[in-house]
Parts: sequence; structure tokens; C-alpha cells
Amino acid sequence: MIKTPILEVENLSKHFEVQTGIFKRETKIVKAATDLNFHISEGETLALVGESGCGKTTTTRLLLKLQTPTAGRVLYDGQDINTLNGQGLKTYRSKVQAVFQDPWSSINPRVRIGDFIAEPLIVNEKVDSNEVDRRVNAALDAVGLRRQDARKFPHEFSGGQRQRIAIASAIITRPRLVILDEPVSGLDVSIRSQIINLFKDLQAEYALSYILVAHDLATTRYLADRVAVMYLGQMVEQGNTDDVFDAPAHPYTEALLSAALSADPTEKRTEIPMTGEVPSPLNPPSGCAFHPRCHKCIGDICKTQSPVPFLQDPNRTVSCHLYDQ
Amino acid sequence: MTQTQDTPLLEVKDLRVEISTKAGSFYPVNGHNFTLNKGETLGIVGESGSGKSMTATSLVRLLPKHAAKVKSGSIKLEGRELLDLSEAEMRKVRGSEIAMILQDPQTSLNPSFTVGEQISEAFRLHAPGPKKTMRARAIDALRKVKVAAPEHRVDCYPNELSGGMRQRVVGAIAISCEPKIIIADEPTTSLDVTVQAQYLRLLKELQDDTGMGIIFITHDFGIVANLCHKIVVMYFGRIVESGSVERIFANPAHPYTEALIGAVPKLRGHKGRLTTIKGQPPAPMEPLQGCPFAPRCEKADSRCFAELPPTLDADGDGEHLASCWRVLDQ
Repeated sequence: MIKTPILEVENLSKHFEVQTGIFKRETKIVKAATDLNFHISEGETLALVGESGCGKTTTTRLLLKLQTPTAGRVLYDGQDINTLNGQGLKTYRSKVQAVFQDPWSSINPRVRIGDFIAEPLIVNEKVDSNEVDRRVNAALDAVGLRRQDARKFPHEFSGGQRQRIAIASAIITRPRLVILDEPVSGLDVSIRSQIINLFKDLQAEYALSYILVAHDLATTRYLADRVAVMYLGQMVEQGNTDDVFDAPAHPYTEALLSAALSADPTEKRTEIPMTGEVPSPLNPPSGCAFHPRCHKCIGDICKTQSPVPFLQDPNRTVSCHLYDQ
Repeated sequence: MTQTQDTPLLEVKDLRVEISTKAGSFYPVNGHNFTLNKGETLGIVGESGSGKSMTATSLVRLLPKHAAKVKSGSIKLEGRELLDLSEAEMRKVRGSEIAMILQDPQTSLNPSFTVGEQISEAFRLHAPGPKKTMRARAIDALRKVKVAAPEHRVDCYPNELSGGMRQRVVGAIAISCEPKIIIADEPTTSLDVTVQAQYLRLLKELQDDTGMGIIFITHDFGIVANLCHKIVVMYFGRIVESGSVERIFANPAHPYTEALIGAVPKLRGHKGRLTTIKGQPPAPMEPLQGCPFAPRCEKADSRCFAELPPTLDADGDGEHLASCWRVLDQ
């Protein structure tokens, strides 16, 4: 199944300058994302996984063009998004949308939800009011809300319904890619499954691509076709979801996956204990950033040299000295 | 795991908590029955608003004053009735016999006191001593929850610690007086999976060492499946099903439990459609006839809408109970 990628990310980096020390005299650099390479094809779901602070959110913000990269490019249909302006940028914004974690804070409480849903359409495309109404109705139908609901205000809805509203607003411009940042973590179990099913239905119907950021690994495995594992701003492993979950190649992936609890008491797990916590991105370890916590650290090379991505097969890359030969 | 079957550590019988408002009153905890033995872990599961946290706070008698009160029932800690204790006696029970770990370590620690001071507060109340030994004991408690460099951390303020570390400090306060029971209310929801795993492993080890009972309040079926021995499933203030983890996961008797289990993606195995539960839980004061789950239940018939099902024995041995009419038909 070879499809042309919608979005290609090449050597993307984002570094922030932080003032520290007494009187903020010292300038340090936080490498929130370093040298990321990935792509996403039509109808595909790519998940970014990793602990808090690993750069998942920074990555999605770069893709949404909410931040400018320090280096590297994001190519949409072959064109660098940082060169886009005017109508080109509007088209990009309407084709790449996002759904965020908290449906309580991502929706303006003073706006009727019909207007909220229509906003991306009105901002990014030239459409008349009849077309707007038609598209709002279609979006409400698609996410399983009633058309009358367009007249209501956000407080009249429950958390699950609010997330549906956020999704309706994201799909109204008929995007090709939707970025889902922890889209179900704020919801109850029974509502969560409704929303997960909705994501699958919408994907099947509109050939949507998703970039999913979720810390729940079971949800990730369920929704994603491919996963990219991040650690301290770097991508340590990338591959098809089932391959990565069944046979993780990077020691970090292995440890991370072993920490996940499965909702099945008959499933036995052997946890690989990871010592300590994620180091501060202000003082990242030398060499491979994971070496102080790694259970497979092979000595000096891990401490001094950062590993280069190794292509195991066309769909699988891993950055670890274990694969150096 | 040693268990004394005669006197359970905690025995809750027919517990009812009433919340009165101007608009009327309702029962967020309605006729609870469960027991917790030594070294045992009980999971209380349910959606938001099902009454999980009300159950927990009623056990330590920390229900919101004026708004909620225990209407009837009994809570026995090793045979001693907690509801009959005076407030002063109850204060001695809290912390030293039953301790609580709350969801958010960010808000349950005081930002203007050092970690050491907050841990010694528990000692000061329950086992006072000179300042120097208090500090030593605080360091000791931190060491028990595996905080690295406890001699240094004891003088840190909460903002200097990471989320996982703070939750460990909260854990250190909870175990400082070697309680018989720890009630953990969603203790790991704000933590990363790796930190969560470390923290849960730690609780398990502490349990193996001390034989304390743990009550986990959670909506995370991963925690339940991996750590709990028994589960209580709550819906609309009632326990709809209770029993051992193995039995409930293998053979849920209540359609609500079944749907909840089916709604969670599994790490391994099938990728079929997830079960959903239509609609929303009823509003607290909604007048209800019959089973409160009936309007959302796929298997409900006329009897379910007419009459509230009693607690029935699902497996015929008194170990697996469910409030569903379908149990009778099996």
C-alpha cells in the first residue's frame, strides 16, 4: 500500500532559548524537537508517543504552523508550509485541522455552537451563508449531533457532546489531516469509546489522516497505523503499530510499552523497570539522551555519541547503538 | 497474602449517604455493602458522578459538611464502628489507620511548606517526638517511597519536584503512620505511564511488606485488571456488580459492567469496534422507576423499567453479586 504522502517532515527542529540563573543572565537552549523525519499518507493514522516533555506537542504546533521551526521543513503536497502566505496559507489551514484535549476550554462559551463550528469555514474559504448552513448541518450529522443543536450554547452540552462539537468544527472545512492532541483523555470510559468509534467512521468516510498524540497506549494501538516514539525531542523509533508494539526495537520503546497496563487480567506483563525520570531538557545527557535510564546501554559509545537512525526496513527506523553494525 | 476471614479489615454494610439541596435530596451512596480484607486491593469503578469519591470520603467521614451526611448503615474497621466515634476519635483514625491519597499531587501538597514539614505533620498528630527525630522519620518515609536522595529532598518545596516525585511525597505522607488501609482516589491519572507503573509497583511492594488493604477509586480498567483482587462497579450511586477481578472480567453479570469492559481498547488482541453505551447517566434527582441503567441498557425489558432489581447472586456461591434481573434468567 504505497500512497503519496500529504505531509512530509524533513529534519525538523525547534529550539527555544531560555533565560536562567540569577538575573536571567544565562541563556540556555531547550531542544524541544530535534531532527524529526516522518511523513503521513492519505487515510493513515500516525501516533506520536512518549512521556510528557518529549516534544509531542511542539511537533504538532510546528505542523499547525503555530510556531516556526528553527531548522528543517514541513512539506504539504511538496510545498514548504513556511513559504505559504495569503490564499495558500488559508488553504493549508483549512486542510489541516486540530482537535484538542479539553472540550471545556477549547470552545468559546459565548458563541452558539453553529457559529463556532462554522468559524474555520468562514475564515478560510469564500462561501455564502446558505453554503455555511448546509455545511454546518452536514458536520453536525457527521458527528452525531442534531441539527437543532446549532442554536444552543456550549454549556448546554456534556463533555462527550462538546468533543463532538470540536470535531465538527475541525471537519467542516473538509480537511485532509486532523491533528488529535489527547482527544479522549478528558472523557469518561463509555463516552471515550463513542468518540474513538467516531474517529474511525470519519476516517473511513472522508479518507482523513490523523496525527494522534495520546498517552494511553491502548488507545494508540487501537487507532494508529504507524507510531513514532519520541524521547527528549528526538524520534527514537518509528514503524507500523503492530510491529512496534509486538517487537519494540529501541530499549526505550520496550520499557515504555512494558509500563502500560492492559485492561485484561489474563494478560501477563513483564515490566522493564526504568530508573529515574526524564532528564531536564535544559541539561540533556551526552551521547544518546536515553543512556542514563537504558537497561541495554552498551558502554562508552552510548555516553559519547548520539546514535544515527538506522533503517531496519522501509517502514521502520530506530536510533540506537545496538544496531550500529 | 494472609487473610483472616472472620473479622475483615473493613466491613461496610448498607451504607447510605444523603445529599440535601434546596431542590430536594438524593443518595450518591445508596446501600453499599462490601468488605476489604488484610493485604487485599479493592477497586471501585464507575463513570464520573457515579458516587465513587463520595463512597471514599464517607469511609473517612470527610463528607462535605452540611451538604451531605451518612443516613444509615455501618462502617466497621476491624469490628469497630466508625460511625459511632466522636470527631476527636475519628481524627485519630484518619491518617494513622485509614489514609487517603488524592488525585492531584499538585493541589494536595501545600506550596509554602517543605516536603519534610508536611510529612512530619502526620507524625506530630499521631506520634509526636523531638524535631530531630521527626526529620529523620520524614527522611525514612521518603526512602520507603523510593525518592532518590531523601536527605536532600526533605528540605525541598513541592514546586521543586516533578509530578511523579510529588505523588510519591503524598504517598509518603499516607504511609508515614503505617495505616491499615489506604484509599487512593485516582492516584495516577495525571502521571505518565512509566511513572504510573513505578508508583503502582511501589504501592504493591508496600502492601506486601505491611499487609495493608488498598481501595482504588478509578475509571482505569488497566489498574483494576492488574492490581485489584476485587471490584465494585458503581452506577448512579449504587453498586451494580461486585466480585473478584477474574470472574468479573471473564464473565460480567451486569450489562453495564460488560459494556464498560468492552468500551476499553485492549493492548493486544482484536481491533473490532468498541462497545458504546448510548445516552448519559441520569441526573441525580431524576425520578426513577426500575433499574437506573435500563434506559441505556441494550438488554432491558419491561420488568427492568418497572422494578428495581435486588442484589442477586450471580454464580451461586455468594462471591459474585449483581443487581440485574437477567441473573435470575440464567
